[in-house]
Amino acid sequence: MPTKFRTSQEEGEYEVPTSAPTSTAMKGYSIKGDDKRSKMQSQATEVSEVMGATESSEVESSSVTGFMDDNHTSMSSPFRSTESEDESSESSGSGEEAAGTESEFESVEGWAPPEPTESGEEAEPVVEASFADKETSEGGQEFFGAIAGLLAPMIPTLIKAVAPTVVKAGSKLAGGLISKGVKKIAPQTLSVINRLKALGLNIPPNILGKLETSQDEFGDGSESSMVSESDLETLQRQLDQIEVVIGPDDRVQIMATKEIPWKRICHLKITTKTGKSYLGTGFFVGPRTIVTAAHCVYIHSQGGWAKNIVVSPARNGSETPFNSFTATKFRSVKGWVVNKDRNYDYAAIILDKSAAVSPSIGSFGFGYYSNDFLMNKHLNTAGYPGDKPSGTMWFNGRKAKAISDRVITYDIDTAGGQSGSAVWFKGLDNKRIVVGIHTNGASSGNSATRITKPVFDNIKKWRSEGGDTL
Amino acid sequence: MGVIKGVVRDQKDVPLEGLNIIIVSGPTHPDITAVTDNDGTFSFSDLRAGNYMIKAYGMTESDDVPVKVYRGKTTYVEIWMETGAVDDQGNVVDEV
Repeated sequence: MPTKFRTSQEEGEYEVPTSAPTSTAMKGYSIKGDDKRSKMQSQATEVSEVMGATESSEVESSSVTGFMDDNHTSMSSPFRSTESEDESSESSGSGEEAAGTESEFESVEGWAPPEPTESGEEAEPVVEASFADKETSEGGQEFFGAIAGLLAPMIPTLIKAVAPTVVKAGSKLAGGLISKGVKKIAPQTLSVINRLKALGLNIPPNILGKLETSQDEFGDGSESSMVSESDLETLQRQLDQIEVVIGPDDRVQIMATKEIPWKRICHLKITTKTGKSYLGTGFFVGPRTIVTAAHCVYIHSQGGWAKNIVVSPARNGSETPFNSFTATKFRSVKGWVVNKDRNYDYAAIILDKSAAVSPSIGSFGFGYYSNDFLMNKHLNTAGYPGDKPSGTMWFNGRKAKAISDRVITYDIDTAGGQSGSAVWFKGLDNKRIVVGIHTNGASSGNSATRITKPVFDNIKKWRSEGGDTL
Repeated sequence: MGVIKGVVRDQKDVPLEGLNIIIVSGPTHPDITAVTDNDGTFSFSDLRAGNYMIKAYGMTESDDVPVKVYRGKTTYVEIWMETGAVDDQGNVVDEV
């Protein structure tokens, strides 16, 4: 039986009655009036610097140049640490030396590195054979029917659940576009077609021709009679779904969480000032400093700084082999706290000096590198996704698919709860260096806050604030 | 930025506590797990406008639930989970 649900807007009635409960079950709180639910830069440089992790940590790296823009101004939770900020010895060195030029994925039982995939032109012929000779077919039915050809061998269950609907909606869309009279294509339609193309469909020349010229021509609404807005929205929503699940989910569970590097990864249970609970992930960069996403320590809609976060290193289901620590000292930056800017979504948790942290946990190294350097690295990540059994750690790895000034985008499978996970590469010298902090999921690619010079400097500072010794 | 607020209940309208709610697809979003409170409520903030799919995980899991988020607005969602036992034919059997 499908899940029953209903959604509504702030000031409105229920808007999407799809699969709504029967009238006898419609006992949800009222929407109007007293709403009970309310209670409810290019800083990449070729020269890098590495900050070391020891066995107790690995390596840490930074650049010679760079600037501290205002958004990177460090901010603290009200429970600011009062410990002395004694200068600790840091093992700084050449990032090139520490990182080398080669990398490899972590070796994880049950996980095989993905086959190299190429984006762009070479990735398209997935369904070419199925309709290369059907480009001129009437109504374009085969055009969208080919979606099934694309998906069928990959995810049978998806086909059963989603693809027929997409094919139906897509066929209607295509029929409208290809049949007589359509000279212009709306931007929304263009977006859908481009996304279909990105899924590997070989777009027929007559459609491509329209794509190339339609932007300028659009404006008189000639398409509207053939493609309804609701049809487009439905198709867009279904594409969202397909884009995320397409391809196998090859995450594997880490069972040996007490080993390096897994023991440096922490399950986070976040309690906000409003009493809400969230789950995230963090990783040790120093004896008492855990780096995570800023949205794990400062949630704008929930009173800002978290009330507390329970940190459980190496958690494995119900087991917490290195105990758990309740933290109340947090650090982030102005770019997130004040400006809510995703580009500054990084933070730290400082454990209290009384926390009996095992010295055997150690910490990750961290560093920043050029775009080319990062694009060539095998990136690893592991964390605590909310779609898996409670408290279990899951791993995946891929190369980056895009690097921008402040964000690394990749197709590494992640899920909610993995925010704050380390994104690291492992050099052939077995040194592990974190280059990003996983923060975002998206249909277009999951992503991390990139460690740049200012990020590096803040992490280094926060690491010192936690103390360099236990 | 927009917000999703919601509540998860069983078929008898009893709020379900301790369920993990995640966003399974949509525009770029914080990859965090929201956990339902004792009143079954949860919340996601800092969301871009767009079409999302969310899903609840507990002893059982929900289907994907579509939620549309508008800039500067809060979208409310109510989810009713199947929590009963399942018979041989896959039907949910109500507790007596």
